[in-house]
Parts: sequence; C-alpha cells; structure tokens
Amino acid sequence: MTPDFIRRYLFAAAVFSAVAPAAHAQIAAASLDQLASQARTKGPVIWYESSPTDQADKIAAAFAKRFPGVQLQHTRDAGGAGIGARVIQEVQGNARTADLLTGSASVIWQLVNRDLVVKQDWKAMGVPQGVGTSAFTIASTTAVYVLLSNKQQVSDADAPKTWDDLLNPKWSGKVGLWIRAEPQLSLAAAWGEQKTAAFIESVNRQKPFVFKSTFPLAQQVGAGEVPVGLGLYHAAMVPISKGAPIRFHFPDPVPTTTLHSAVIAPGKNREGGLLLALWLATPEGAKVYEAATGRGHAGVEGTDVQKLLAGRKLAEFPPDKVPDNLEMFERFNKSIAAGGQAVK
Amino acid sequence: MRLVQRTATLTSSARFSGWGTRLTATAVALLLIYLVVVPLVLLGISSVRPTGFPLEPGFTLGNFSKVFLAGDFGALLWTTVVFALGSTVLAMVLGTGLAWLVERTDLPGRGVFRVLVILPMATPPVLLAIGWAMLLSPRTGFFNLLLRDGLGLGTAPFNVYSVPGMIFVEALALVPTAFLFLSPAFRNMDPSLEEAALASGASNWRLIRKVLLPLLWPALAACAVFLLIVCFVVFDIPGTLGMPARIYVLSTRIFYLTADSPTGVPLYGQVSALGTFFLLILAVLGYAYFRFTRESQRYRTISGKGFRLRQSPLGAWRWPAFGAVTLYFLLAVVAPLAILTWASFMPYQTRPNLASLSLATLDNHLDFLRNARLMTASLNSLTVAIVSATAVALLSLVVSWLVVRQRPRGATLIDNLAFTPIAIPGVMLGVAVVYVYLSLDQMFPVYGTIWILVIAYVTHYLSFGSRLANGVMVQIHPELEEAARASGAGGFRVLARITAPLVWPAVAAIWIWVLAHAMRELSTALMLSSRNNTVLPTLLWDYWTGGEPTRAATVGVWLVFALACILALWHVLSTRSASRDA
Amino acid sequence: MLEVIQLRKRYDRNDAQAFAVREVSFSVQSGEFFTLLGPSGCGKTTTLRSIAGLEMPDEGEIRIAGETVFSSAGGVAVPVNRRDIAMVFQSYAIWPHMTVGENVSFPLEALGVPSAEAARRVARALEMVGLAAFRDRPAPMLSGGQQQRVALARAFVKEARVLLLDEPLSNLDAKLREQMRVELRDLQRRVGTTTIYVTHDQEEAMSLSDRVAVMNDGRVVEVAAPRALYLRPRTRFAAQFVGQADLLDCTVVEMRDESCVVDTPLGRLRASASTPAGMGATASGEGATQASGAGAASLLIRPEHIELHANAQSAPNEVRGVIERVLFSGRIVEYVVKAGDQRVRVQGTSRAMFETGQSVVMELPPEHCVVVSA
Repeated sequence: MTPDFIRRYLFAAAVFSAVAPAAHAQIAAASLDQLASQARTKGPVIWYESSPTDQADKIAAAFAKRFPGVQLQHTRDAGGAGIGARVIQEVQGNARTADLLTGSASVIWQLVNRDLVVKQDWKAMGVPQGVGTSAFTIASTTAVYVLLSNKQQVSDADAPKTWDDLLNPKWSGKVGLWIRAEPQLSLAAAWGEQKTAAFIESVNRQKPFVFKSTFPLAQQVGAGEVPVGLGLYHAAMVPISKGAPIRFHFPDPVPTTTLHSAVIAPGKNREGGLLLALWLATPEGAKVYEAATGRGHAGVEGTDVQKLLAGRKLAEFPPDKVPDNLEMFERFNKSIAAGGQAVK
Repeated sequence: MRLVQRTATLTSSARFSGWGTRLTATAVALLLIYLVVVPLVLLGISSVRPTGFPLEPGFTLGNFSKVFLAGDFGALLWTTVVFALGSTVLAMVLGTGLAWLVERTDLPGRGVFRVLVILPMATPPVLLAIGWAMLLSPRTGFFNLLLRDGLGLGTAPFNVYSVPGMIFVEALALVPTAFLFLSPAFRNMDPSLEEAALASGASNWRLIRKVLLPLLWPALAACAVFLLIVCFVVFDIPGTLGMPARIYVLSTRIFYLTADSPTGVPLYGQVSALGTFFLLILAVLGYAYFRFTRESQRYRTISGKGFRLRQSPLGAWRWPAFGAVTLYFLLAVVAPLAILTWASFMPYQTRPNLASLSLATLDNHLDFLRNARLMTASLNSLTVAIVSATAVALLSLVVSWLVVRQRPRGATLIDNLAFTPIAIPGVMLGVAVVYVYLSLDQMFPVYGTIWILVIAYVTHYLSFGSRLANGVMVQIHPELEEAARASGAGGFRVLARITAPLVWPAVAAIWIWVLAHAMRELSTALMLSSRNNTVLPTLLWDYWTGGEPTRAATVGVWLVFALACILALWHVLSTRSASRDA
Repeated sequence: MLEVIQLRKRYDRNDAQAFAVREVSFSVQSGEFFTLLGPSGCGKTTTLRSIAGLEMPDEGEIRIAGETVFSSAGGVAVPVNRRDIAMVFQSYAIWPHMTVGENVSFPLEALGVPSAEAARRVARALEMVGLAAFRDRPAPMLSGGQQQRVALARAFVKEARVLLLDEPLSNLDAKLREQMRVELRDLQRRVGTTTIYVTHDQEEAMSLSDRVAVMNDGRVVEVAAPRALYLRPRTRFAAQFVGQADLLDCTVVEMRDESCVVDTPLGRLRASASTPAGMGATASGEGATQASGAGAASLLIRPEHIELHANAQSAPNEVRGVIERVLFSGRIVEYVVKAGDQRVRVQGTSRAMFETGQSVVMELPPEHCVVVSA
C-alpha cells in the first residue's frame, strides 16, 4: 500500500473523530433489564457475527431465556472483511441493517469512519475495567494463538513451547502458518515492529506451509501433514475434542485478537444491540458464548480461556491503534506471502 | 460459390423477420442489459473509487496502479496463464476423448459412463481440492504413500501442492463441463460426412483429425474460450493447492483483497480493477473466437437429410478403450469421492489406513441428517437450482436462436452481453446484485431471499448456456427452419416445433450443468446469505468455519448423492422418450 | 399466375456493384412448369428464394395470383409463411425428430386445418408419392429417394398456388434421378400446380419444363420452350449452355425471310433466320437480343447435326476438312475436324465411322445453322 492511501484514511479518521457524532446520541445508562424492556418494543435484534448458525442458535436461545420477549436474529457472514462492507452497503441502500456487529477492530474502525457507530459510555453502564472497551467498542471474545504440534510425530520434549522453538532447523519445511499476519501483528504490540519483522523473516526461512484459514491448519497438524504450526486455540480444540493427536502450548507472550462489538447507529433496535453487547461481557453471557463457539472472553472472570491465560503475558494492540498499524500489517502480510521458497 | 452466396443472403433473409421476433429481441436485449450491464457499470465505477464502494465519492486511478504496477503482478499473471492454459488443454483433451468415445463409438458401458462423467460436478471444488490433497499430499497423501511403499521409492513421487498438481485437479474438475459442452455437438454430426471420409480410405485417426475436428471447431473453440476464462477467475482449487506452497494466481490476489484486506473492508476498488482486466482478456478471446468461426455455414451438420447416428466401431481397441476410460473414472471420479466419503466417516482429518479405521463414526452423517435446517436448506437449494437451470436453459435457447438464426439488429450485442458475466469476479457480481436489489427493494423485495441467488446465478451461468446453445445452433441447417416457414409456420411455431427439439440435447446439457453448479455454489451464496436463504453449501460452510472439515465432506457426499439421483431420474425419463423416437 | 418484375438484389448492402440478381423479369402462366436454368452463382436460387419470401430483394415486384407479395416501391413484403407457395429444398429439409406423417401434416397444422381433414389430405399426399405405408416411420429411417418424396408430399399437401423446387434431384443417384424426373412431371401434370424449378442440369430442365429461362450472372439471358431453346437459341450463352455447340464468328451478308447468308471462317454459308414451322409461337424471349442484320454474331450448329461424308455430296454448306481426333464412347462417336484454321466438333454414331487423318466433307444443313448473338 502506498503512503498516499494511508494518508487518506488517517485524514478521514481524524475528520470523523473530530466531528464528534453528536448525531448518534448515546444510549442513556440503564440496567440490563431496563434496556431489555426498551428493546422488546423495537422488534428483533439483528446481530452480524461470524459464528456458524447452529452455534449462534444456542446463543440466541440462552439470550431469549434471559431476556424474554427480546428476539435475537443472527446473520452469519463469511467473516473477515465482508461483514463491515455488508453494513455499509445496506446503509447506502437504505435497507435495514444490523443493530450490533461483532468483528475485528479494523472492520469496526471502517464503520466508525463512516459515522455508523454509536459512541457509548461503558463505565456508566457498569462495565468493569478488565473487559476492554474504547469509545465505540466493547470486547466480546478473544481469539488466542498457540503453538501446535502433532502428538504422534513430535515428542513432548521436542514440541515447540517458545517462539524460538519454531526456528529450530528440524522444523524446516514442516511449519504451518496462517497467511494472515494477525498473530504477528499482535506480537508487535509487545516486541515492536523491527523485532517482529525479523522474526517473520526467520520463520520464512523455515519454508512454512501457508494456509488461508486456521481451521485447515489445525486439521493438517492433526493429520500429520504439517507436524508443527502457529494456530488458533479454538480452531485446534475442534479436532482435539474429537480425539485428534494435537497438543498446544502457549508461547510467551501470547498474541491475541479480540473481536469487538459495536452498536450500529442506523440500526432499528440499538437498545437491543447494546443489551446483547453488554450481556456478552457478563460472566453469564460470556460463558454461553464460549460454550457455543469454543471461543471465550479473556477479560471476563470465569471463562475457560480466562483461566487458561491467567498469569500469562498477552500481546495485542488496543482497537484505536488500527489506523497507525495498517501499513505494518500490510508489510507483515506481504512478507509471509512472499517469504521463502515454495515447498517442493 | 453457392455457399458464399448463401452466407450473404442469410443475413438479409433474417432481417425480414416479423414483429414477433423483433419484440422478442428487444425484450431479451433489455433483460440482458439489466442483468449484465448493471453489474458491469458498477464494476467500472467501483474500480475508480478510492474506497471501492461505488456509492462513495471520489475518483482515482490508484486502484489500477496498485494492481497492475505491483511488483508481483507479472509473476501472478504468468502463473495464472500457465495454470489456465494447462488446465484448459488437459480438460479439453480428456473431455473431447470422452465425448467421442461415449457418443460416437461402441464403447461398452457408455450409457453408464455418460452419467458418471457428470457426477464430480456436484461437489464444491474446494472439497475436490481437499480430496486430492488427501490423496496426493507429499507426506500423508494416500496414493503417494501407496506408491512410495509399493514401489520402494525414497520419497513420495507426487506433490499436489504444485502447479502441475493444480492443473491436474482443475482439469479433472472441468472435464464434466467440457463433456457437456461437446457431447451435443458430437451427437449432431451427420455421419455421411464421416462415411465419405472412410470410404476414401481414411483410418479412424485420420477421420478424427481431418473431418471430425474441423467440423466440431466452433464447439471446441467455444469450450476452450469458456474454460480459459473460468481458469482465470476460479479460486478454490488454486487457492487450496497453491497457497500452501506459495503459488499465487490472480484469483488468489482477489481473495486476499476481499477476505484478508487489513483495512477492515474488502478492497473492492482493486478487485474491480482486476475484474476489468479479466474482461479485457475475455474480449480478446471472444474476438479470436469470432474470427475463427465466422464461416459458420461450414459447420452445418444437422441437415434435413436425416440420419442415423453412426457409431465408429473400435474393433481391436474396444476393450483397451474400456479399460482406459474405466481407469480415468477410477482416478477422476471414484478416487476423490471415495476419499471424501472416507473423510465423512472420520471425526477429524486423518489419513486412510487401518489404524484410522477404528475411528470410523456415523456422527457426521447423523448430525447432518438431524440438522434442524437441513429441510429448509435442501428445499432452498433445490428450488434455486431448478429455477436457475430452467431460466438459463430457456434464456440460452432464445438468445442463441436470435443470435445465430434471426440476427436482428443488435444480435452481436446480445451475444456479447450473454457471455460477459463469466469474467466478472464472483465477489463483484455479488456486490452489484446487492446494490441493485437494495435500491429496488420497494419494487422487488428479493434482497435476503432465495430469489436474489437465482438472479445472481442466472446472470453468471448464462455465459455457459449461451455458448453451448450457440455451438449447437450453428450445426442446424437453416433449410430445416426455412422449410417450416415455407410450410406456413410463424416464428414461434418454428422455434417450438422445429428448432427447440433439434437443440434439445444442448438444452438438456445446459440444464444439468446449471443445476449442479447452482446446487454447489458457495461464495455468492455466502455473500448474499441471510436467515431466509440458507442453502446446502451454506451448511457446508458452517461446518467448515466451525472447524469440522470432515462434516463439510459429508455435505459434499450428500450433494453428489442428490445429483446422482436427479441424473438417474433424468436418464430414465430421457431414454423412455428417446425410445419413442428411435 | 406469377409475375416477377425488375428484381434486383445486391450481395452486400455496402457493395453497390456486386449483384446477385439484376433486372430479372418474367411471368409464368397458370399450370406451367417453368425452369430457371444456369450455372452456379447465376442468381437462379436467389430469385427462387425471393419468390418464396426467404430473401428480400432490393428492388422489384413479385405478384402471385394477382396479389402483390413484394414491392419495393410500395413497401410491401409479405412474410414467407403467409405466401401461397410450397417449397421443396435441395437438402429435402425433412425434420429428423418427426415421423413421415408428422412431417407431411406440419403445413396443415400451421394453417390450422382440422385434424380429420388434415389426416385425409396427408393420406392423399402420401398416396400421390407412393409412400402411404410409411406414414408412421421416423424420418431418419428413410432412404434419399424416400426423403425426396416426403418433401414432395409435404409441398403438395399444402395445395398452394405456386410450387417452388430448388434443385430437388441433384442429390440423387443418376438412375433414381431419371425415375424421379418422370414421376415429378407426371405428378405436376396431374395436379396442375404452377411450378417454378431451379436446376443447373440442362437435361433435366429440357425434359421437365414447358419453358426454360436461362440465367447468367444475375440476368435472364433467354426464355423459350425447350425445343426452341435447343434448336433455335438466340444467344451464344444459351446455345452453349443447353447443349454442345459449335460456334463460329460470322457476319450476316444477306437477310431474307426464311434464311440468310453469313460469312464465316469456314466460308460463306446459308443459315436459317426465323422460327421453323411447327415449333410453336413461344420462341420470343424477354431480354434476348435479336440477331441483327449487320451486327457481331455467331453461327451455331450442334455437333450431332453435322453430317460427315467421305466425298462431296453437292449439298448446301459443304466444307472440307481432316479428322484430327476420334473419341469412341459406344453410343456416340465424337470427332474433331480441322478445316483450315478452324476446329469443329462433330458427333456421329457407330453406323459410319471415320479415322484420324481421314479427309472428310462436313455437311452443315442450313436449317440447323442458327445465327445467335455474340
């Protein structure tokens, strides 16, 4: 990407954040049940999020039990960048769009730029500090990156447990990576760009396999095609829970990618969206989400992932750093895509 | 001299068409403009927007420079060209050979083969790629290990994560399309033309080279052009098999811009810029096709002289041919489906060996059959597929009839419009369709319903339908229709009673092809998905993103099964009606 | 019954000079068998298709049974399916997906004839061509000759005023062709339909037609009854096209009522100048140029009319020559006789034969010498 492109986005971001969205009035502080009674009158709550529909159905059922009369309507998108674009297009087409969107920081940032997100005072709503909020977003779930290895092909002693273990020459040509540099981007929050870039280069010299998604990565580790890999915890748990011979270790620091929720300003049931976002950040809601999708909330007490990560050093940029990091992210992506020789 | 005279007069005789034809031509042109030009315009606009959203302001050529001046564009293009050419050539060779053997020789079992060859079409290509990966991946591929251990080699001989691997799998995925394209053309050939060659002492081989291939040229050329464009645009197989080895093609770039863009929205602007590049290639190929097949009256093979379908006896080659074709089917159809079936019985992906056998479970299948949304998804899939297939078949017939036979003013425009959508990247077609129906939501509330899928599919698959119908339409001698008109029949009666029955094999092929593709199509269905338009591939995707590829394989297996049932039904119906004619 | 007036058609709208048909005019009486005869590319098929309505001429008028079906001046163009014509195509155009009966009944279906009457008419048409037993046979299971008859039946069933045939016999083998010729002529005489026939085969044209129009390069060169056309052609082209012809450049020296005297490379000869008695009065042709008194002309004599003698016979028009070549083909013997600088073809029979190198006397009977335009 050229700097020109970035400048344009930064300028837009500056303009938009300066023009404080007075138009999108905050929703007045209220308890969850009070919000629920307002939401009840406004029809279904439309939620855009990327979990498979049968998992979302479980979440919706629990939500309906907790807040009777408030109907949650989940729309699964392919995930990735398309989810935000869908909202933008719907707004431009004057059609009904989401009330709440749960996605990555960069997606939400695009919506913020276009004045589509409600600014919220989370503290006034009673959200505890650890949950992770910004002016426009509240954290909903955490994706955690882990070092994977195949139990049958790699002994416990040899299994990679630290970042440097990945660089061990015995894994040359046997490492699996996600083509998207998300874990590396989060790592840079702890290490800084230079060290991270150098690390990426070093891993490239291992001639890794790159996958377009973390699920096949985990499955291939389980199948033994790729003995070692850097993958996602909840993606790996799926084959593990079925008996696949995969083990995982948390490196130090542990990179995470948080998915945030944002209330969409043109939504018809913003109260319902806010209600959902707040509920997902409560222990009860977060546990429901984790049980359904396998992906927990690291900032909420009582979830499995919070217990797993207790005491570990985590690495991730806060959501408002997105515009600053675009260029670096792009560089990392390019580096992974190009790096090393093609595997023969 | 006489033939030349006839060409010249063909154009003017058709201009003497009644108002009925002109009305049809106008209606069809308008429909096509609506279906095709709107996405094209949005594509163009999007390519010059800084943010890529057509409705957001600004003008820039930056998208073009970012795409075409990027350092690796040349390498991407080169790899794509190699991949496209290789896959097309291989698919054409296999498809032509199979079509000839099945349609024109006395190959034993050809009726069964005719159905079997089409089966792989029911599976989403991403599953085919995974199946082949499980068979030929360098370390754990089933065939690789068999060969390595069986032949005592040091390392496995094949690596599917390579350009030859991509070409091999893509070609196998395209053979059903090539077969459906070519077999109507083969069936329609007047055997007296072949008999004349044989009577002059030509061997079968010479017959093929000097008589059959030249006569089939329009169908072959149309098929090749179509496959080439598809290979440029397609992503699933080069993505699954190329990306792990860092082999990138143009569609990999599009995937990246759409799904992995770091900015948080797909970079539609650059995707559209690439889309215009595909359109340019399409224009070039289309022009080449037009130049090469201009003398279309040379290819007139269905004459009114009537004929019995001639079968070339294979003689001594009969059983070797049978063996070769069986081998092909084992490799191309049975192997990947078998491995997918295997995967569907596995809780997680693992290589087929005796140890894994103990893991076998029916869970995937049971869960699939118990899935609450299975009924709805299946019904939706069937509806979308059948409606799209019928619409494309009819529209292709009418378009082709207008373009080849009637040639009203603007016939070339109609023809080109029908063909263009194949070059529009699926994601941009989805975006365009979304915009159109969002803005028209009051008049046509199709957004979020299955009908928006039908519209997208009809637009996209019309390319195939019109090419195939054209290829067969040029084979029909115009005197067959002129005789009908001289007997007093008006335009529509001629179309319905004379042309349509003669083009019927092509129409049937179009229907099956669109049905299979619509049933398995994934990316557009996802883009346009909502609560109310879940289809079977969406279920597949759910399993996939839920980290359960073995369950996704299950859906693939059931899709094949469903198509096999439909094909069986089709076969029964068509043989019953054929025996009436025979 | 049929009038074609000043028909003109260009090959290509953009090329003003390339004409498929230029200035073609003729009229056909009711019940007449009228043939358009000419080499490939002469415009005969284009003309026929224009009458049918499958082609649109650029200029001219066509009237069928008094009704104007085409007029460029009046802007009239009746579509083919509404003209009172029936057509038989060179390729027969039998629809392979229908039976014989369905093929033949199709025109009646298109006309909306009720099925009982249609069945009757179909049966009658099939009877006429001798295919009554084939009604339910699928079309692809017919021989060439049978398909030809189905095409005929299909044309006859329509009971149209004008029947158009586009080289219908050219795809049959010689024996079948001769047989079909006879049948066709008988059929036409029986039914009495006005028939326009297109062919390049002069034998066919002569044996079938009441009148023949010889065409070349988009024009009608000459129109005449077969005998007049053969024995008393008016143009060189027609003379050569309908049979073998010896043509000598000549100048007319003297013109009388019944005969004339011409100067030729073979010497001064006597030729006939008018229609011999018994030929009928239909020898006037539109578009033919008269042999004028003092213009450029040719003298035509047919090889089979020249008699060869060993010695002079004191007959008119005797010319001495030497046999240069003999070709014995059984029924006929062809000679090339050299007289002075001129080579003349002569056809004889095996009754009296001559050898190469022999001196002979050619006798050119004046009644068979015809002056034609150059």
